[in-house]
Amino acid sequence: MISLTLYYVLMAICGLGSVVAVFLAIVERDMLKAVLFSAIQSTLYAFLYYLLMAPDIVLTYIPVSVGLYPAVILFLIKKTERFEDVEMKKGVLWATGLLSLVFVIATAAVIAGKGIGPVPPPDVRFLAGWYLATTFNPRVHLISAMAPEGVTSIVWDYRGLDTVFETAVLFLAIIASVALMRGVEHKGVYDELKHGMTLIGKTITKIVVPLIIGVGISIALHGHLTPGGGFQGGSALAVAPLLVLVVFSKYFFDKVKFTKTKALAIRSSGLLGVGLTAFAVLIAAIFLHKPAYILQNQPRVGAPLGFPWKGIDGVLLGGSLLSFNACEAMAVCAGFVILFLLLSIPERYVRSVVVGGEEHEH
Amino acid sequence: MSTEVLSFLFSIVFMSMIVNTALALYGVLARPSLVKKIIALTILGDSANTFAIMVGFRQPSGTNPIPPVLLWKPTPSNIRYFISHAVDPLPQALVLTAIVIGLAVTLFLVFLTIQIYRQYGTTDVRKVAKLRG
Repeated sequence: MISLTLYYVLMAICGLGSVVAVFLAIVERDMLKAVLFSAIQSTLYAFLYYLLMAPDIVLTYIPVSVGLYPAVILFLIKKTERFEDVEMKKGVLWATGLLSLVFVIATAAVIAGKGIGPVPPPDVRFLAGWYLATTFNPRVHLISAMAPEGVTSIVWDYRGLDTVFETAVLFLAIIASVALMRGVEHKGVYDELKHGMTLIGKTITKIVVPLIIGVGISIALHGHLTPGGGFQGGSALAVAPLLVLVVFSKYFFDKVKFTKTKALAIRSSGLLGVGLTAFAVLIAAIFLHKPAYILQNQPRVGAPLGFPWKGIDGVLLGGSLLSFNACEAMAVCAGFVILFLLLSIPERYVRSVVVGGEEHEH
Repeated sequence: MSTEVLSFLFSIVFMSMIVNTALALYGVLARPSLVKKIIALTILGDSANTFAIMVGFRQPSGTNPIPPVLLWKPTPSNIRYFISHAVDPLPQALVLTAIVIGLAVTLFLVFLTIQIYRQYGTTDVRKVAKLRG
């Protein structure tokens, strides 16, 4: 019982700590410090997600919010302005910060004391119970997703259409960014001594990057068995090229001839794989003259075809989930790499193309 | 542990998220710098996601909850234990995609902000608004 109390105390500490971090991140005039506070907030949220029994979220949230996102904002600060032009009185500031902490504790005490505070219920909703009962249940194969990972089953089976459209949003956001930087092509010659960080940084990166890639692939391909999946694996994989970009500089990518076009090709094949997996059972059914659904994973009532869920020796394959996860990881990782490559082009060069070109048109 | 203490500690997390949302809203609406607005927007999104995950949380009486991953053989008794202890997987599935897409949208905003800086030479919305006329 002590452990249960400790569990909730840790949650409360994470919550209060995040209020302090968010307050500092919002009122800070120096953007570099604001990003640092925002990263502290992200770390505390990641702890909170772990305590709230959401390991899938932790796996995506750590690479995205603690790794990729602060790096991107640092790029942004380097390219634009570091300080915000706003004056705030120190006394007012401290009072507001202290007040928000007191407000949190006081209102929590009041609503808990009055019995109207939120209490985690002992049961989940009926729908959640349904998901949990059928995510991996061979006795009811016709309504089961046949993968033990509840979250990945929902992402790609129960609510697969949602995820396909979410992938479309991802696609559009990346295409919109690429369109903003259209016509900007930059190439340079990589110089081991001149570009990037020191030899120590480069050597360590050479050791760390294969490990990150290994972990990323593992997260993506085991997504149907353990916490993980395409989105988690893809964002973990995207950390590796970003690290290379920061430590070795953009010119290293020019040297190994890894261009934006190649990343676009990887991303497009990932998206194509997602599309093909969505239609695979339907296409097979057309040839076999049988009914089937779009995004079908396992056999359903009246639609007898489905992906294999068990390999030889009883290894769980996860049906269409494995294929979806692998393709989505490719699409997510390569999509972010495109944007990092575009962000890393020297600003002076981009200016000469973008602004210079517009002036020419006038 | 008494229900009051549990409720108090869980209420602290809940109220922290409300205050974080309020602070992030202030950042998005009232701060002049576009960089600060982007930072505040991600905090706003993360806080909203945390609310969603808290909705799916549960506290089975006496024991700790478990993640929605079936780690044992799917026998009827194991599945019954799983249903009575695992948290709701649906909010987690929705938040999962929201985080990754949130980053992609943030990157788009980053590109827009850099483009604004290229054209106007500032990321301060008050100055941008004046320059437009």
